[in-house]
Amino acid sequence: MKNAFSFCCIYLICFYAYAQRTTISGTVKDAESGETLIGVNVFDKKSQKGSITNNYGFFSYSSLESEVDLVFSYVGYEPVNLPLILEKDTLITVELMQSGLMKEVVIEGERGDPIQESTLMGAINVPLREIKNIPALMGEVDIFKVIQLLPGVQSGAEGTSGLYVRGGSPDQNLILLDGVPVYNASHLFGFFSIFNDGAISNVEMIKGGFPARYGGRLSSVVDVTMKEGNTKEFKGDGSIGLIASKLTLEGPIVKDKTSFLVSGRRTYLDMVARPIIRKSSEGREDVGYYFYDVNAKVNHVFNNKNRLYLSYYGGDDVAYSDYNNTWEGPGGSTESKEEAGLGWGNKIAALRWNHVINERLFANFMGTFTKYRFELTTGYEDVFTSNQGGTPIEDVYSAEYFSGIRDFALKADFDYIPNSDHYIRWGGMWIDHRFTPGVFVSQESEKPEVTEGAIPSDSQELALYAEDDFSVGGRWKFNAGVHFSGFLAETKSYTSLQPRFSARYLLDASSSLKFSYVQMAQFVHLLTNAGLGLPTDLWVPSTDKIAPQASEQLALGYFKNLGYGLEFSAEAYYKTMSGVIEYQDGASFLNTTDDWQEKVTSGDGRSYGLELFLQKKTGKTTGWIGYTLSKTERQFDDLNFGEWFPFRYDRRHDISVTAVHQLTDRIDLSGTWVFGTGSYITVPLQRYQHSFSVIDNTRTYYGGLYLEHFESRNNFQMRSYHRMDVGINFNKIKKWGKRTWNVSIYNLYSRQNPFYMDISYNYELQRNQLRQFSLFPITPSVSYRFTF
Amino acid sequence: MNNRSILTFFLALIFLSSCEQYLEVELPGQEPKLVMNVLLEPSDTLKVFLTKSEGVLEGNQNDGFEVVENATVLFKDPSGETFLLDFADKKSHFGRDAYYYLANPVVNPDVEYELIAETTGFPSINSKQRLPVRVAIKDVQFSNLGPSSYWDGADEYEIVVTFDDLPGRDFFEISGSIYGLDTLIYNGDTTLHSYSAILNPEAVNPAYRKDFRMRPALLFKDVFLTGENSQIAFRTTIWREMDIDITLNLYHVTESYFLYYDTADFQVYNNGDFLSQPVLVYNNINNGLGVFMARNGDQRVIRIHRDQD
Repeated sequence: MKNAFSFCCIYLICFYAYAQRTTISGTVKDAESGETLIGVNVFDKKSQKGSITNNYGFFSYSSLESEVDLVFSYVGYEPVNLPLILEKDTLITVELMQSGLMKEVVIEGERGDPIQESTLMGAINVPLREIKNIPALMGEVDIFKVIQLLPGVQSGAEGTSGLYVRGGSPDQNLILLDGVPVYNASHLFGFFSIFNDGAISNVEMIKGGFPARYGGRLSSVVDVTMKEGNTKEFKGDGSIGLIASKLTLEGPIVKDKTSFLVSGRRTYLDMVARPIIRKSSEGREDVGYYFYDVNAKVNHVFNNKNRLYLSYYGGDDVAYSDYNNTWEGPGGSTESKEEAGLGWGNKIAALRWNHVINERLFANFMGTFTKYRFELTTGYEDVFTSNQGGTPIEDVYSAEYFSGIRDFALKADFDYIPNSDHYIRWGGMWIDHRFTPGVFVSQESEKPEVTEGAIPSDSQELALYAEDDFSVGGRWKFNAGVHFSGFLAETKSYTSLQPRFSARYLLDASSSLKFSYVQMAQFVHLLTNAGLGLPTDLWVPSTDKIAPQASEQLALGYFKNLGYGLEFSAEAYYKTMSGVIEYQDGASFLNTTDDWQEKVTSGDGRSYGLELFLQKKTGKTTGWIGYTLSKTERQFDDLNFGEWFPFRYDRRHDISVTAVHQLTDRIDLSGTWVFGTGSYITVPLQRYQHSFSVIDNTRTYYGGLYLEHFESRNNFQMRSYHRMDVGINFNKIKKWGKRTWNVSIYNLYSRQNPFYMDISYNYELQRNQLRQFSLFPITPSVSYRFTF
Repeated sequence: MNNRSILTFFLALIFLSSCEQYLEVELPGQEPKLVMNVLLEPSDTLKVFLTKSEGVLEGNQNDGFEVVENATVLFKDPSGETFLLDFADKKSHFGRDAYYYLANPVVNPDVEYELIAETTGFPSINSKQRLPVRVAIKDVQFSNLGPSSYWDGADEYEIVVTFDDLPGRDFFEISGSIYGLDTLIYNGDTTLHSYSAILNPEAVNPAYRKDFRMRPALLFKDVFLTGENSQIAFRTTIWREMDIDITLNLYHVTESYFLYYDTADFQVYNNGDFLSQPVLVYNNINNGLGVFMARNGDQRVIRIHRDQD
């Protein structure tokens, strides 16, 4: 019997009865680690109705019948069947055991509602179990790189982890780590995301049909949940790769009550290169780069109704260059020191309290802090010592450019499940923002410090929401809600009331049609120069001059559960955006003397497309095929003479194929193939006579003899992007745990995909060339992973 | 293929891939186009400069641009009367000055004119412009703000020009020149000393200032003007050692004039800054490149005496 392998604990606590209904509620956990499980499907075989666990593993199900036959199912876990006779409201804890631990090959069960059941559209639970098996650039597993493989999500330039969702910009993604916004989610100039897979338990992405509980961004929500820490026993896992290593430790502080998790990751190219650089420069030079991040979490269960979490993330990218030298001259010696540094990073902290007010009402209270800072430093110190003695003469200079954003926030969320036909949520949030959009500070020897650039500014943001997910009859299900948000900018305040609506109509037991309409508002903007997600990008608020961004999105979809773990969906969407900002023609982001508001212009955007998605969730072979047909444009009164132009990452066709196959118990094979039509850049086509040279109507100072003619903004489409990656995992159970050797090959057929283009003069050929530079040719990597 | 061969193959592939630094990509749209640069204003000669553009991948910008000879250039007035322009080709030590011209053209304000140019191998190009109405300078006030902080021997002046801003969207330009003549007697010798400079107007209102401007002129929209008796104030630096004549020009210019210089100045200013956004230069030549722009101006000469405050 399968259920004989299941481990199920039931803690009964009595509550008062609710009318004729009896409610069973509680928490669903992983039997081995004690981690709460998000999106577990709770289904009553008798009434054919059910519920689902929320982001904290809580569920509530009310029935008019005294007998229920509940099945708790979750992908990757053995389902638990729980027949109960309900005499009164009941609070239980259910623990599910992972299928892999039971030597099962075929994994049954669903994560969340089956695809055709939920009202949610454009929502995907990123399959974390598959992520570790998918081939990765330099062996470094990256959640964002996997998200880029989903339909409707475009990657930016080669190798980068920026997300462009349904024609939106990277700043329009609400990236949450344990409910806290992350403002720069990238390491190494965007080549890796900040999320260490060892510390992550769940990733959900929503790109349309946003429920009212989400707000503040236009294009997507990426909700990343950190592991809570094993409450049963001490565990660890880690990996050693070509560029980075990581280690995660977790375990109980007080068994079944208090647990911890600590996870760290660091690159070490700098350590490897340092001796070589020092030797080649005879000890005078030190140049390097590294990034690190630390995730930590403590959670304490007071009782079945109260739980407290404290989570922290800290990470930095650091690039440095030091140069020391001494010159001996006829009059004396000069000791010279030069330093330059580049650094950026996030600090995030959250304190959460989960409280079960009663069997039908769940509350979550949060206090959060998030900070992102970018810093560029340079300086030198020259000390001249005369041969004739006397006081040494010093010449010192230092300069620092920094920018960033900091938030304090308070949040309260309530889930009320009066019966199996309604799931009501409401809540609110208050954020105190501090923006520092580019400050330059310099000091030279004895002179006073000079400060240029923007003055830090504070803004307040408020959000309130209410939504209900409810069924009408057997076929219709709706999610209706409203999200209100307000923003206090300088002397002006902005408010926005955003209706959210989605509907599902069941065509039959396995297929449905869905429709959604949402309005979104965004009060923060990202000033980005090259669209690469560079750390130099500036977060800026809506101001008296710069209005908030807003969007409307309509989507229609067909969803079909094909059986055998196969799901198919087709979604068409139309999205309009307003208040989108862009640097004006000619603006240079290093110019700190101008107010940033003078360098930008705001305009509109529109995107429409069709997304097809076929996913196989269970069996020996899992994976998906995604295809997106889309068009995205922008329009600004001050750019391109007011004409619409293609968005830089407008990709007409985007295809991704991902597969993981379990060859044997010890060997997994994986592969991905992606294709995207080329993105757009602005390239001059012609050079022509400047009127300066012939019409000297104002006695020109100076000027070129020629002008360059750009047909329009983003007038040139780069080559199509395509790439195949393959990987193989060799797993082995050891006495101390499990080890995996992973061998990956990124860009198997070494496609030269465009990263950057320029026009330059080739002296050998004696002519100009349009050159395309690529980053990663075929790149093999190996990593060693272990779990104990 | 044995394991060693497979390994060798992959290593060779990696090596070769790493060696190739870049890929040359084809850029369409490199065929030359006709370029027409014209300024229409009430004057004794209308000049049309006609050249060929070159693809950015072709040639070298330092070579200059090929003048189009043997083209048919026509100037059309609204009545449909067409004037054929003659070709002048003047070569001097300073270079070549070649253009098509129409002597003593009759042009009237608020009338639209069309230019058409045709030559073999290119599609016909054309453009239209309406000559703006002349806007008179109603008054000029100036005040001496004291010694210039960055030029010894010179004073900074604030000059306020009053004029009527016409209804609708209008564009203006102020430029000018400075001329002074003085007689110096030293040890019985008399020296005639002259001073000539370009007026460099710097707008008092920061909204009119543009760091990127390449021309000593103040080019502005009428967004902040008040209609009748509108005023524009600017500052300039003038040598204080002699009596000075300032020739002020107030041009009522077309939108194409404004957009062309606004964008062309910016592109030239940003040339070489790879971190800046590209600047699209205004072009109003159908099937070609360049600009057909127009202006109509008024002039006022003011005299500043050396002993005048």
